[in-house]
Amino acid sequence: MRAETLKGHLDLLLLAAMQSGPAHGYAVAETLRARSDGAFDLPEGTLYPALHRLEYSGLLSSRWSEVNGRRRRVYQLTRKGRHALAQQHDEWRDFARAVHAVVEGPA
Amino acid sequence: MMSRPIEAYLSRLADLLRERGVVDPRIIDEVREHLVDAAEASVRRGLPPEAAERQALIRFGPPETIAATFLGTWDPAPRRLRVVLSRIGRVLRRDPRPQFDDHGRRMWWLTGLWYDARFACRAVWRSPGATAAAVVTLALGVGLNTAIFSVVESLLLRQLPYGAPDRIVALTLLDSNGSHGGVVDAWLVRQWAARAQTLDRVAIHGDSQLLLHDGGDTEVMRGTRVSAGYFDTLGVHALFGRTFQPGEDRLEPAPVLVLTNDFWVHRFGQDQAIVGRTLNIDGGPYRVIGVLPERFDPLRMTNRAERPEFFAPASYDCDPCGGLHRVVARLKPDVTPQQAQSDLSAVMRQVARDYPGKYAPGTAVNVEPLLDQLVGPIRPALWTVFGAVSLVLLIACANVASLQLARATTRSREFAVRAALGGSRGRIAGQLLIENLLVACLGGAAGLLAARGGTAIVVALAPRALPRIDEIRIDGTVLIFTLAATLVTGVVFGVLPAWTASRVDVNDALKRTTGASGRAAGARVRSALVVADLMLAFVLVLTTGLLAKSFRNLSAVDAGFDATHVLTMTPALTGMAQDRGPADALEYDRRILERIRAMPGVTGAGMASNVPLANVESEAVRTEQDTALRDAEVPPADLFWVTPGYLDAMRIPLRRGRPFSDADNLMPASSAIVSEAFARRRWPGEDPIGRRVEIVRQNQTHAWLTIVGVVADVRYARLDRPGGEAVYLPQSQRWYHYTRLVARTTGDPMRFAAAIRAAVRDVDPAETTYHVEPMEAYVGSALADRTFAVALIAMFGTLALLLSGVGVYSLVSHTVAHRTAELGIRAALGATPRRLLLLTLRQGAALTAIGLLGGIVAAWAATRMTSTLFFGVSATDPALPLATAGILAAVALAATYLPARAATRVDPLTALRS
Repeated sequence: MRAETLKGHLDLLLLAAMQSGPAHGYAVAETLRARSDGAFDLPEGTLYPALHRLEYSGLLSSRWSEVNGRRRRVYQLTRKGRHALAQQHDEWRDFARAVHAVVEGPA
Repeated sequence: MMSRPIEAYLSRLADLLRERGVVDPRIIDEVREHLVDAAEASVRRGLPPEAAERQALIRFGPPETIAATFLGTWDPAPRRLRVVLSRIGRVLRRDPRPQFDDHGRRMWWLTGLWYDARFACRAVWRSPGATAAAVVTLALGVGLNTAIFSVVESLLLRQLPYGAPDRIVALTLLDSNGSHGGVVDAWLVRQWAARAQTLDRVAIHGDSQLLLHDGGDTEVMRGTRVSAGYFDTLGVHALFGRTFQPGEDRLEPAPVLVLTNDFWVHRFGQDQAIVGRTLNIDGGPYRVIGVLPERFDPLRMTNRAERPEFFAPASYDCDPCGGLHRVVARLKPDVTPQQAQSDLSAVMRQVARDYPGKYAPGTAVNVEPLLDQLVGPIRPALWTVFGAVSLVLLIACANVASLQLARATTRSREFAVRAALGGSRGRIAGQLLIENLLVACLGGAAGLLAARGGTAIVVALAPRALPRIDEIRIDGTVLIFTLAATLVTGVVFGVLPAWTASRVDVNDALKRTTGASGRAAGARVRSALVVADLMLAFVLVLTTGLLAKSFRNLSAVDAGFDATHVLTMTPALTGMAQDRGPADALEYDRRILERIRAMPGVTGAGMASNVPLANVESEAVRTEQDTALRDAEVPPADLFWVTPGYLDAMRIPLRRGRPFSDADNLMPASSAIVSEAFARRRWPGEDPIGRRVEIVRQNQTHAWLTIVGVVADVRYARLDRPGGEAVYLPQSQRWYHYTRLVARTTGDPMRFAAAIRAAVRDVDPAETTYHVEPMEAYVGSALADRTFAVALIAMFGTLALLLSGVGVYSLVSHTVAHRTAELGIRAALGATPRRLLLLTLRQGAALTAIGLLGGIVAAWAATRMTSTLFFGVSATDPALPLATAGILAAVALAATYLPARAATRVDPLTALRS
């Protein structure tokens, strides 16, 4: 998938990747790649600015912690983040359903 | 597992981020962890380490892209401020979330802030001239404001140091015309205490003095006699020992003393054993029963400059009672002064009904909060001064804003570059705001130092009679005020430049080569500020002029007496004189005066019950045509009991008839002298000589006194009020009255003080004199309130004038610098230096004209508020406003001329090339 297409939905994807629990940046990248069967393949470096942006808007919080014996920056959904995720998820579902309905034609 | 490709990548990324102004150590750490993770995963899949690292880097993306993406998320200052605030809020709410082990995150905003602060320091340091000008201007503004605020706070806003001070009131009698007057005696106060529903406690207090014999010396102690409930009324307890008990304030008061802390410290060296000690007081031994705490500030005596040294019981439980008293009361909880006033006035009507003839039917009681009574007279003056000094602070703010705006304008290219590199408007504005707050804080700190000096100067200038003067200090409230003034000042003068600077048009600013841009908006705002400067300066200078002229008018006013070379003192007149009868006492005084008059350098001497501008006693004076009036209805006059020689020594002009002779001063007295005002009022258009008057004292009969002379009116109470109706009586009419001694000398009267006191002791070695002061000191005290106000406002006016001059100068010179190229073109096209000079002068002249017009309007409003301080001047008299306008125009012209001359020296070639 083209990076441009992905960019618009990056926030939703990142928040969704964090849904199951706290994760560090590399793990988030792995999750995205694994769950999308490699379709989401954007420069991994661009995740970090996005994570930072989400953190400053209060949707994520982060701290240093020990994972597998190494220091890693671990991100976690805040309450505001969960709320935003739910909202964006709903919007996405409506959007996807509408796109699907139009593109596939009447069943 | 950190090998070269990853580290090389990280160092490149760090460089790129730093170039873009993104400073967050966490980014590099985080990226490193990611890359190492990715490389390790590839190694596990079988790739050689170096290839694994390269693959991780490719997957991560080129450093330029990543750095550019970070730039978008780089937090602008306002958002960081929010993070700071929420963090502070969390700390304040004692949120236990362990945020502080979160080193990276905390470092993040701290680093940003540190970066901005460092940058601000550099920026401020880079222009030392502008910074110094701003700091000095602010220091003067904030310092003066703090000094005056500390006075306002200490005097007007801070409560009195008594228990529940808001319930303490002063009670005075009001006659049927609503003016203050009438003798309040202890009997009447007891009536109030017994009948009023709204009073918790009532007490009386009045001046007193005792002679203390200690070894061979006799010294005068000045103090206050009070009823036993006085200290309970004020809510004050003794530091040790006790205060008075009921029964000690009987007709013949108990010989006990309570000492003020000050007197105990200075006279008795803090001797703890003083309580229980008996002092050898003239007229019998007195026992010291208590010492008052240091923080108890005793109410002043009748002379407001005098603080009591001791307290003794008054005759409260008496009938009939004599003496003049002042009354303080404590209201019951939740009673307002208005309720107490109507309650007490109802009580007063009852008393007047029950004892007809003793009090006029319309007599009412005035209830005034004690604080209002103490500071009421100086309140308008003090608020005027505070208003003036606030104007100065405003001018200082306007000037600093103008300076900062000028700097922001010259730096518009810098801002444009920063904006082009991705600095957001908020970031640039925030940066400037931090710079301005830094300047404000420097100014505030310097201002606090200035305030300490300023407060000392104000206290030194302040009249001694100013109530609570020794309470003036810089305390917590004042510090908070200064801090607030500093921050508000910083924000106020910082927002405007920040706003203007952040609106810079990147393209426009970068296209220019001279660094001159953003002129239109900045210059308009700055012109407005300079106009405001001039307006405020006009108001202050005009007020200074009006006050100075009032002061001169008042000093030159014909007060009806001549104070120069006159010495005043008070003979204690005790010992021998006290035990003898009236004839001996009068003879004793005559011998003292005779002895003084015989001294070389003394041209006249006399005694009087009160000298001008000290104290005035009024009593009802009946004339022959008033015989039908009841005692309470007879109009009052100011009474003075004087010896022969007094009128002459004070040079009070005799208008008709003759002065008193020794023959008048015999028992019983039969003559009187009246003032012109008294004569005019009682016998309009007639000759009062030969008419008769009678002093009305309740339940006492007095002989009729024949008027033998008429003298000029003397301003006994105040210099700014015409002299009242006065009646002079021979001392023999009330021979036991307290008396003052005046002597006219040929030079500096204080040089004669020792000789005159020695002359008094020659008559009686046991005699003492005190209160030795030149008569001019009384005139000085009467003018002191105004001296104070004039000195302060003149100080502020001068400062305002200087500041507005600096404002005009900085604006015009800035414009000239801006227009160098334009002026160069004009010069090249043949404009003469004269034309260029006029061109620049015109700008200054236009500003000055607008500023002066605005100033006239503002002054018109301002002088209405301060008119109580004016004397013999009219705010509508055009002379002073014209002079003020002239002074301001001259200053503005001078401030414009300097940079304008620089404009004429512009070299066309250099100007065009630059």
